Amino acid sequence: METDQVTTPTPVRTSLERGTVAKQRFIWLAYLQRGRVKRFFLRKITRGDRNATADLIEKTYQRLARSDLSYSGNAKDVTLHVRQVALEVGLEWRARDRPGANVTGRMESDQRGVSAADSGPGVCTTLSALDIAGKLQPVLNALPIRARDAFRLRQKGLSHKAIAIHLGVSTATVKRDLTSVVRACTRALDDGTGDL
Amino acid sequence: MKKTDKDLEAAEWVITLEDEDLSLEDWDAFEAWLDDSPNNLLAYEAARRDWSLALALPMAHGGSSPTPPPLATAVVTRVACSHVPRSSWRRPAVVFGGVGVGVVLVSFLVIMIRTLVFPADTTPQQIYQTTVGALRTVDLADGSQLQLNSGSEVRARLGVDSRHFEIVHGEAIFKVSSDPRRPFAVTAGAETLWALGTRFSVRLRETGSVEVIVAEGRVGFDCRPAIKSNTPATRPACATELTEGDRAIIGSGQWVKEKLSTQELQDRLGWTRGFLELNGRPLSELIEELNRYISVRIEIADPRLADVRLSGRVKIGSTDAVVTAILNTACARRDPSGKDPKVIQLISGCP
Repeated sequence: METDQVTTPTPVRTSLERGTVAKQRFIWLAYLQRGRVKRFFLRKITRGDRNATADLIEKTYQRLARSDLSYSGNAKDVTLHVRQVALEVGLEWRARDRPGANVTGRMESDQRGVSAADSGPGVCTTLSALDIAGKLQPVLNALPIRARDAFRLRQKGLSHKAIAIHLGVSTATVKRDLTSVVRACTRALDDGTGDL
Repeated sequence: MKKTDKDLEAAEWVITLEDEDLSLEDWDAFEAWLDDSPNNLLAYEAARRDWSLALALPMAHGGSSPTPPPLATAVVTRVACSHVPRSSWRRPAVVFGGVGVGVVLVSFLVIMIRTLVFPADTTPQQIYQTTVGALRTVDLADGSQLQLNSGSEVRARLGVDSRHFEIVHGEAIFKVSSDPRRPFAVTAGAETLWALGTRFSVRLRETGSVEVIVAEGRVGFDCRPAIKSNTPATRPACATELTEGDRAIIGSGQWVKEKLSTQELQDRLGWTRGFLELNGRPLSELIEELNRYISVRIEIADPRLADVRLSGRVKIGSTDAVVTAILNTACARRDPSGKDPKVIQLISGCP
């Protein structure tokens, strides 16, 4: 077509091109963290299992490549995101693929916090969704009002800062309240009591 | 270290790591904590799993779906982002000098903007007030309407080229008469909102944050006011606009917004019709709201009452009616051991 032939290429990048470049920068920066990610897996997650570590690194970078994130101009954000994804991948592996992992359900507390638990599954009790709801709901209902409000807002997806604005308290107070909720939930699922 | 301490630390890490302001230093500290003991990772895993299970539970109130909605039903952002990069020039003289110059400049700018937007004209200021339990509707000279909620005070200044209202305390709803030559601004606490042809309520909370509900039209905030000139005043340029059905909480340079359904909108603004809609909300949520309309303070002394849901509507203006409605509907009674006559402590048990 004649019009196609006379059209001169524009030097201005389209938003799609800019997005691609930003994504490439993100991946490039993420790859700079590879050594650190490897050490994290080896030392903390797989405890020296090199094959498993290689798999986890592969999985981490696949996930990063699929993520919607691109380079925002802040390398720190990339570093943090890489570490967060690595932790996610590591914890998933420990829960599902690690030799002796408790594949379904939730391990009861009689192994938690003892070193033997790290080497094997121990005695596991699988809690159904109903069991979990049955144990957690009374605990959540008995929370102090502010902690419960903070928890409900967190359930809605609000950040700590947003919850703080909503409730008119400081972010530190929100964190303290939410920590107490986590603690109460852990206790409830451990032994059925979730008193703060 | 005791197991309890480890669990508490793990819980703290679960919450810290989900914070949007997480820093690399936090992360390094987390990894160092993991290195302290292999049990720490176990405790963290357990706490995180339990937290995820709790978050995945159906919401106890306000949600009708059996599964929690996806994240981000609300939007959170910063209004004024002024990230000063951390640099090495932190010598006191430079810092104090810089702060001093900054304060002078900011003060100058604030004075200039105030002078330009709200000139000290001779327009008299009107003060409108309501006592606790009373509502008041005021028809303004420009055709707009102002309705004050219980225990509120609003100061109004209707100038030739601007309309400015200040909420001193409480809540008011504004029905704005369109006049492009006279921008309509409402200040509450540190926030100023600009009406863009609308009906909206503004509430200044005791904490200093501002709640805005838009019933019709649009409201802008974080606005750069139009500079006055000989030409007719133009609309201010607002970084953020709220549209019909939006409810926003603004404070400390940040805001949160959510979209209300038609029913929720009516319930939230039910006070304008002289009623407070209870709408099956739990007492713990309603208590703050109810306390705004009565001359005594109601407190929940029995945590079992916190989840009792109240339905129906309460007529605003009668303390006795509100208290009786709670006592009958929630099957609660006054704690006879309560000493302060201005405070009603609620305990379980039908009267």
